[in-house]
Amino acid sequence: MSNVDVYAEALWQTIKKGESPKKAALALKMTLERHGRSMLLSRIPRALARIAAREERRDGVVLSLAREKDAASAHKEIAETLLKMGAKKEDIKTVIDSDLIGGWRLEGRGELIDRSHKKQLLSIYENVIHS
Amino acid sequence: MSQNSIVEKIIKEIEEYAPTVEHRHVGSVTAVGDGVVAIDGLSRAVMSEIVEFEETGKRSLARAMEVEGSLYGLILNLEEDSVRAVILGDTARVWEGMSVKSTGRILSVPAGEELLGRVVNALGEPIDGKGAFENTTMMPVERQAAGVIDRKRVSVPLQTGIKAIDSMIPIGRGQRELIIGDRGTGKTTVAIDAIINQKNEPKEKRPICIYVAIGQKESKTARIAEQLRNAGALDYTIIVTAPASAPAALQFLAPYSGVAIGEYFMDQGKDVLIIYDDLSKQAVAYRELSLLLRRPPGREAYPGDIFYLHSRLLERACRLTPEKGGGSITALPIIETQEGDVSGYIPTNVISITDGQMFLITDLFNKGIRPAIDVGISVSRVGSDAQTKAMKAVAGGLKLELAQFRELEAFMQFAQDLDKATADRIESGRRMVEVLKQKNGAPIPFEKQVAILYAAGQKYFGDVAVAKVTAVEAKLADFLDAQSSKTLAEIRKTGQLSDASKKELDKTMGEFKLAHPELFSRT
Repeated sequence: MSNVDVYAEALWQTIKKGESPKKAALALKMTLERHGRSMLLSRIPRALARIAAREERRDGVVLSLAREKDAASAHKEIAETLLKMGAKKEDIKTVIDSDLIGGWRLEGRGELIDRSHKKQLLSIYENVIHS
Repeated sequence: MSQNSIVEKIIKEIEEYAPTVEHRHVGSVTAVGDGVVAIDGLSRAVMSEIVEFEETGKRSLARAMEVEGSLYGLILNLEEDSVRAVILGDTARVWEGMSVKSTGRILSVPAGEELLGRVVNALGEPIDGKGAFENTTMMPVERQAAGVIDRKRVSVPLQTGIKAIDSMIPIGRGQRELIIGDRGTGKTTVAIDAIINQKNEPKEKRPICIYVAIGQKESKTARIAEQLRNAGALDYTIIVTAPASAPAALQFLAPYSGVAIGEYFMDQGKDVLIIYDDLSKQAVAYRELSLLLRRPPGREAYPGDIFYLHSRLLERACRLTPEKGGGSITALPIIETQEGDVSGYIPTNVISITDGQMFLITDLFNKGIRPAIDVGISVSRVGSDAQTKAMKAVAGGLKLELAQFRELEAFMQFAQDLDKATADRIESGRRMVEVLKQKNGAPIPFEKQVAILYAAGQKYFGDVAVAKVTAVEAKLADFLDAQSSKTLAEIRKTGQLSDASKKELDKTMGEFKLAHPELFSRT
């Protein structure tokens, strides 16, 4: 982990613990100035964005649907899985992905559940060409 | 395949298809470069687990169908927040943010009779265009070597067909014998000749041969495959190749894949001969990987576990007890030295792991002495137990005689007058060196070696001009084949050189001398 990443991680953790972002950022700026490392300051926002993206990936749950009308049935089918994942219905970000052809795909918190028609058609295709 | 049959196949596949839900643990690629990826997530990943890069996730069906096979990675570092894996394929197919799925599988390769005569890559996939394997068993690439209780003493010889080796540096089944030398000294030739010679073994005792090419030019591997095919040796040989153009990860894995395939046959009670050509290139590939994985570098920038890299590989070569099937793996690792320096880091490591080593020397090679083995510093620590009585009888004092000859030869450069005994010894040594010379790709069956060395020991070549010894020896071998085939067969069968056999050999050699008097003149 580079120095920039370490400082960005510290800033992220501070904010996560309840400190106001403005106060935390000012404290970091002062620390860097004190240590003669002000040059690092310009690189910290990008590192912070990376951490935010990582956290979103870790905590976020994305439900991809082929069609809007599949939403009701998909939500019904994923209810149990969501419980296991420790996620609530309101944590889910729903996106429409017509490439799925039909069905749904749930990704988040280190899990991937694919019940799309695309996946099933690909599976048939693989079986045909490899048999 | 006709269109109708394709349609039928598709219909059958659709009818039999049972929809499944794919549920996997996933992570995502946060950084990729030089064949190494950093993956965020995959918190349940285990060391050496295979992960699958999801190339089809964000593509349309049509584009997903264009993807050429699955792309896998091998987890080599488990860190606090992420894991690092090496890509077992084309790095260009991986991008930042790509999903990576765990498979729960430890890296394994297919093994089975089907692999015989085939050329596979480090993942066990066929690359010779002869089609996919259908009936194979998956063998783990990393496996604990057999324990003390499961091992048996090395006592069965493995004939290489090379006189200098079988007589003075004998190899037993289950032994690890290092072939070491500078580039261009004939290391690969020795190994390939050993494979070709297995053709002389009866089919039921013939070892399965595995040639692992690491970081070699593909043209060289193709040439070796061709040579083995022409010699009829490819039928019992498997070639595992990770060429110089392959990623470092595959070059690091190739020897383990080779031995995993070998273990399949060993577990079935068969004997296996495996050549690692060469382990110095594997060490370099592993150093590259380790540096990319940000492991702390040690001596010569090799990682701290470089010794373990080779010891855990070579320890898998052994001879099992009859209760475990009695199979064996004999390993002939090759190490390339720089300027003859055997005190380098990797050479000394491998020397200490193996049960002996044969040094090939550039000077001898340039003098035309081939194989260019320096018998003075070559040794086989366990092989003498496996040497047959017949070979022991004819090769007993050979090593000492040659060592004395080399010493006298050096002394001779300064001395003007030599006493008769010294001169005779030098003359005899010169002839013995000629007797031990051998063309590449022409291994000699064990019984013929015994006969030739017996002849040399009886000073039979004493009247032959030094320059003609090799030619006379070849003619004598043919003569013995024609005239004393029964005696040779008996030597092979019993492994002993009885008084009757000696008498018969003496008789045949006398006849040869009478038939070719022109060959027996010192000029």
